[in-house]
Amino acid sequence: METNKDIKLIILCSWGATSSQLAKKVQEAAEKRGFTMTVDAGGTGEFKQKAEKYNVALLEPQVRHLKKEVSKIADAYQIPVELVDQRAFALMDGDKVLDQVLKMINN
Amino acid sequence: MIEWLENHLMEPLGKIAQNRYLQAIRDAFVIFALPVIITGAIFLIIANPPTSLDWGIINAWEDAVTPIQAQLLFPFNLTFGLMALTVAFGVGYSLAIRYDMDAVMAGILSMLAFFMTAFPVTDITQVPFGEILNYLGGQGLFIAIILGILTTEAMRFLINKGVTFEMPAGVPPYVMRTFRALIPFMIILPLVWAIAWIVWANFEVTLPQLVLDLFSPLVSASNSYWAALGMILLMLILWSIGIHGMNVVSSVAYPFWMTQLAENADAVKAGTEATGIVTEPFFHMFTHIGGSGATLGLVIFMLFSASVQLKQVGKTAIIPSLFNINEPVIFGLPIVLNPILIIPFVLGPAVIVTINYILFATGILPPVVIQPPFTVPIFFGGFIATGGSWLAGLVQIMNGVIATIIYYPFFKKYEKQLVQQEQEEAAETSVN
Repeated sequence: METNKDIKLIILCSWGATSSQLAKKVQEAAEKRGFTMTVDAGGTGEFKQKAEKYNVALLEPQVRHLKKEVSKIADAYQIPVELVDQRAFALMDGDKVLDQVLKMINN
Repeated sequence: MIEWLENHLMEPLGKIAQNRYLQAIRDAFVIFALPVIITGAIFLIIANPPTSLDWGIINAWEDAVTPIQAQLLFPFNLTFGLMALTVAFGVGYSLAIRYDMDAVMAGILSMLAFFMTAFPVTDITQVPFGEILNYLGGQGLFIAIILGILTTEAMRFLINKGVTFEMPAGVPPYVMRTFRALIPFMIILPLVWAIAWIVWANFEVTLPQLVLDLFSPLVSASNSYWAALGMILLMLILWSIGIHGMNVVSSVAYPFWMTQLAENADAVKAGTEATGIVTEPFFHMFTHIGGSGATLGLVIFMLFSASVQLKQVGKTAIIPSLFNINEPVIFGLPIVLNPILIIPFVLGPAVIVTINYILFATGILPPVVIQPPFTVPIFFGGFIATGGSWLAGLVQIMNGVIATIIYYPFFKKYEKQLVQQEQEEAAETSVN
């Protein structure tokens, strides 16, 4: 899988607690595969202020009900948004989430 | 079924969670007020040794702080005493961010407007500061929130209507910022002053007192067992369908919880009886052992489970669970939309809330005076929240055990299902 641009991912939850853990796992998975990648975490509340810094966003399942609001912001910057795969989230599976991100970007 | 829930429950409830005012209120407390009151509470604890314990070290501590108690309480008085001022700024700031406005200016405007209403509109040099400090703290929270929203909305209205100085292009942004805020400030602040004056001239009360009188029945109602039970049930039912329950409930309940907390701190300071029971730590520290739904024991079961899936999720979930973060458990086990596990998930905390309420109401547990961050692990959280009670830490452990016992039969039933399913799958793959 090839991407010629840097991937700048943000993972969102309600306060940034679980998302920072998942972000670390995804970062590790990316490094293992030799990608240059920025993975940040944050709360949905702060997303608006920093959305422009990213080119892809993931939403954790507990903030699923905020997807519409987040998508609206993301659309303004043409950032694709998806929910993190529930099982990958539960297992903090960085590899699987990375696959999901690559798929989102290559579409 | 799931689709029906999505359409009929998730959407409307999600709307509540998305309400910009509620989000701004929650952010004002969690982001802006929390560091202020935690810092203040530390001084309150230092100035009030637990004199019920007759230990040498406590006696020495008491001897050391008694002569300087007033000075030690100064940082407490100012931080707790300015809690509502902080919240006024926080509400204005957070709301302005959601509108893409100049957040700092909105925060300052809302803070000034609130400050202005806290004084009697009279010769200000005759008003002792100590007398109004209460209104700037716990007792002023409701008016602080109301003004935070109203001033920011008014500012937005004026800017949208073009009632601002617009500088020609090329003017440095920070100069532009001053001028853009100037007219809203000059219109809104005098307006607030006029209202505060009318209220003072006619009723001889300040606006915070007036609002407090209006809200006080609600505040005392929120401190009851039924309110506590209602809150916990709502939180967990929301979680059960996949919505962040604490998030939704706390955005409405925070002003009430904080008012109780501030009243408790004041009572401790004055040496009188603290009566606030239903505060944020009542849920986050004493009920949500290991995260919403008190799942710590459940995660420990999972670690030793015969089911591959449960064991896997348990391994990832245990460390965050120790810090009361359990989203991976709620979604990975999953508890969400799981007819078996939802029962203990709701029942356990309901039982714990009942026990906690009795323990606090009868004075067996000392009142909560500090709100620790929700990530403080079991035992330490209770110890800190009550200003140093070992018993409170032990009660947390007891609550964790109670929840675990309630989970056990349901967990076993669910585990059996999964193991069977996993065996069938394994059999299928070996046949193929």
